Amino acid sequence: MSDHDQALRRALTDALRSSEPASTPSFSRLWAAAQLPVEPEPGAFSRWTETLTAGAAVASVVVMGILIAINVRKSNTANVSDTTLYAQLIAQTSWQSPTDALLDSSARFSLAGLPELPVVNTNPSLESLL
Amino acid sequence: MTADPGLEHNPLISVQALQVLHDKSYSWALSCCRYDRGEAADVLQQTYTHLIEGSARFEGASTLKTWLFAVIRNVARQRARRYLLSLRLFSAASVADQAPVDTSDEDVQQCERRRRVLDALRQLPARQRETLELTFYRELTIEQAARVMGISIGSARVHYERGKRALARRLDRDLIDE
Repeated sequence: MSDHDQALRRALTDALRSSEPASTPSFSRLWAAAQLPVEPEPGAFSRWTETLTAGAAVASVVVMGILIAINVRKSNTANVSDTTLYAQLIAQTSWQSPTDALLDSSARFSLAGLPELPVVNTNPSLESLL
Repeated sequence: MTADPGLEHNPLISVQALQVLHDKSYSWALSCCRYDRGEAADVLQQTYTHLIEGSARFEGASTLKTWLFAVIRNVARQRARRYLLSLRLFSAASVADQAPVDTSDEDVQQCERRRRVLDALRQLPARQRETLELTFYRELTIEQAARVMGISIGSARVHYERGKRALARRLDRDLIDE
């Protein structure tokens, strides 16, 4: 060990020795206590239950947080395809011929005053085309 | 060989040998318990219980002191883990509180120097601190310190060298050479 190491050792030893208490619990007392039959620590069970309860609470909070995060993400990034939307639209639509009931009352009123237009056959029969 | 009463599970240990090592064991237990005296006494008592019950068995592979220090360290760590305490060998509060305040035969400079050394030691990483304490103060070899800490000799050597360098850097030359 070099001189520098020796000096370091002296400084360290001196400092550590100064931090130690003057008295030591007697060996006979600790040895006798160690030989006594070990009994379960009082409150050990409650400590376990407290730990488990706290763990369960933390776990449930974490799970809830994860579920909320997943739902938020889903709602933000919901990307329904056009095909799906079209299918939903078709399913919800009842196919009926348009009637005046579909128009609002003002439109019905204005339509009532109009002359009846001649019916033009825009779907010529097969005979007329031949 | 006849085992001492209470040490039937550890026939290689004698009560007298434990008694001889008792002060050093308590001192090491204190160091492992952040200088909490009550906790150190409990750790030492629990260590003796392990010896009596045979849950810690000395096989003679190392010296009794090395083996006993390793058991004490393990017990202290288990208890620290159980009570969610970090295993820091030196904390500012504990060392400062436990340090004797008797300055009647010590000049203020000496106290200041010791405080600076302890501060510097406290700032080292735990492994380096333990290695230096075990080798410099507890008078173990690096190999024995490695056994106590449960690490390889190579790692212990690295911690020893790095710890020495770091401690020397933190302490100025005058402080070491005094």
